[in-house]
Amino acid sequence: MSAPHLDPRDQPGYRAEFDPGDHRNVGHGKELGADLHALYLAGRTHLPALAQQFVTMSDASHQHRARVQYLADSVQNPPAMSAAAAMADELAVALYRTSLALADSGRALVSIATDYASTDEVACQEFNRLNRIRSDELGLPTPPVTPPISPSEPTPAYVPPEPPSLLDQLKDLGGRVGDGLSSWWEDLTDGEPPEEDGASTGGDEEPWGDDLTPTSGGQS
Amino acid sequence: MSDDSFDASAVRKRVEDICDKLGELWGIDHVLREKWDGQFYSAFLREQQENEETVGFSVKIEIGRTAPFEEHIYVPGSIVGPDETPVGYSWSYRREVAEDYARDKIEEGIEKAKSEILPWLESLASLLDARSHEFTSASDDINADVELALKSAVVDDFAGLQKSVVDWEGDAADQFATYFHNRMQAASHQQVFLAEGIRAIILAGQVTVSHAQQSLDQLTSTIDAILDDQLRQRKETHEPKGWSTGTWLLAAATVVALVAAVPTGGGSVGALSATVAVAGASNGLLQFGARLADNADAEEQTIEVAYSSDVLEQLTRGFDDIVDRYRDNWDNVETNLSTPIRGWMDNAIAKNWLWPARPDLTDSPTPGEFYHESKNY
Repeated sequence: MSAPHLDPRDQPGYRAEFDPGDHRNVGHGKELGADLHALYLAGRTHLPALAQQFVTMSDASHQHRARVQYLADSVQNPPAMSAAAAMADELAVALYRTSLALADSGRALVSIATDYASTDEVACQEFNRLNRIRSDELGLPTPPVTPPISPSEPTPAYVPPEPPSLLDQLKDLGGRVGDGLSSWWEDLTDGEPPEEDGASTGGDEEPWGDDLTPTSGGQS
Repeated sequence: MSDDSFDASAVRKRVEDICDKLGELWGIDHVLREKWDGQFYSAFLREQQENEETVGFSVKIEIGRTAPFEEHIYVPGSIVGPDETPVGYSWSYRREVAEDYARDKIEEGIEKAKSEILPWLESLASLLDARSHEFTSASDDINADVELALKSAVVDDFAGLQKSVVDWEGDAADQFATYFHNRMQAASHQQVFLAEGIRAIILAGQVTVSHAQQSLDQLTSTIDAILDDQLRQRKETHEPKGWSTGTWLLAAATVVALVAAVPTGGGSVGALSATVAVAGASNGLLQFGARLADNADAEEQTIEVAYSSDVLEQLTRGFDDIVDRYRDNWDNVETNLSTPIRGWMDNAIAKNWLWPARPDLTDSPTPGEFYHESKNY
C-alpha cells in the first residue's frame, strides 16, 4: 500500500476545482455534490480507519495461526485440530485481503469523488462547502494504513510461556498472605498500624493475645 | 476451565509409585500365599536345591518396603550359604535368606508392573503434556484480537460508514451498496463465524484434553489410594485377603467404576460451564462445541471384569479406556464440528464470501464504468 496521505486530495482543506472542459455527464447540481462529499468522507476517514483495524486483526491472526498449529501439534494433530489450523490460515488470509480491499476502496472513493466534482460547478461548490462544514472529521490528513503482514510470510513458531516458577508462586502466595494479614490487622486494630520495636502498649505481649497462640505443635 | 490442578509430573510420579506399590503388594501376597499354602518351605527347597532336612524352623522376617511388617516364616532346618557350605542353625542367616527371598519377589513384582504400565505411560506422553490452558488462552486471544474486533468493526465502524453515505440514493448508490458496502459487511459476518468456528473446535479440544487428563488424574489417584489401603491391610493382618482374585478384583472393580463415572460426574458439568464462562461464549456454536465433547465423554464405557488373576491387565485396560474415549472425542469433534465448518468455509471461499473484492485503481473511473473486481463475481 502506498502512502495515501501524500496525495493533496487526502489533506485537510482540499478544494476541488471545477474543470469547464470536462463534459462527462455524471450528474449535476447540489445533489451530486452532496453524494460526492459522502463518498469523500467515507474514503478519507471511515475506510482508512476500518482498514487499519483489519490490519491489526490480520497481524494478530498471523500469530494465531502459529498458536493453533502449536495446539494441533501438542495433541499430535488429530484431524479436527488440523482442520482448525487450516481455518486459522484462511482467516488470516481473509483479514489480510479485507484490509487491502478497505484501504484501496478508500482511495478509490476519494479518487472518484474528487474526479467527479470537477465535472459540475454547482456540485463542486457544494462538495467543497460540505467538506468545510465537516472539517472536524476532515481536519487531518487521511490516516496512513500500516501494511499488514502477508500470510505468505513465515510465522514464527509459537512458544508457550513458561509456567511460573515455584519461587514466583511462593512470592505470589506471600503477597496474598501478606495482604490478608494486613487486612486482618486492620480489622483487629480498626485501621491503626502496628507499632514497631516493642513499642506496643502490651510490652512483650504478642498483639493477638494468648487466645490466638497456637495450641498444637508449639513448645510446651 | 481451570486445569491448574492437573500436574503431568505428579501423575507420572504417581504411576511410578503405583508400579512400586503394585509390585510390593504382589510380592507380599506371593510370599504370604506360599506361607499360607505351605509352599514357602517348598520354595526354599527349590531355592536351595540340596536341602534334605525335614525339620524346619520358624524365623521372623520383615516383609514389605512401604508398609513393612514382621512375619513368622517356616524355613527348612538346614540351608547352605553362598559358598554352598551348610550354615547349620544360624538364625541370622536363615532370616537373611528368607528376607532376601521376600525382597526378590517384591522386586520381581515391581519389574513386572513397570514392564506393563510404564510403556502405557509413555504412549500417553502427548496427552499428559498437553497444556489444556493453552487451548483456553488461545481461544480467548482469538476472541479478543479478532472476533470482538470484527464485531466492533461490523457494528460500529460500518455504522459510521453507513452514516457517511446514508443519504446517497440512485443507481450509483445502489451499485455502491451492492458491490461494496453490503459485500464488505457480509464478509465481516462470515469472518466472525469462521473465528467462532475455530474457537469452537479449540474449546471442544480443550474439554476433550481436560476430561482425559482429569480422568487420568483421578484414576491414578484412586489406584494409588487402593494400593495404600491394601498395603495397610497387609501390615495389619499379615494376610493376603482372598489372595489375588478377590483383592485385585476389588481394585479392578473400583477402577472400572471410576473410569465410567468420572467423565459423567458433576465435575465435568461444572468444568464445561466454566469453559463457556471463561470464553465469554454467548454464541451457540461455541456452546455446541463444548457440549459436543462433553456428550461424547458422557457415553458410558463398559469394561468387562474378567475374573482373572492378571490384575495388571485389568488396570491397563482401565487406562486404555480413557485413551479410547479421548480418541473418540476427537473423532466426534471432527465429525460434528470441524468437518461441517470446514465445508462451509470452503464453500464461502469458492463463492467469494469470505473477503471483499478489491477495486482496481489502475484505471481512472469513468461514468457508468466504475470498475470493481466484484463485478466479476
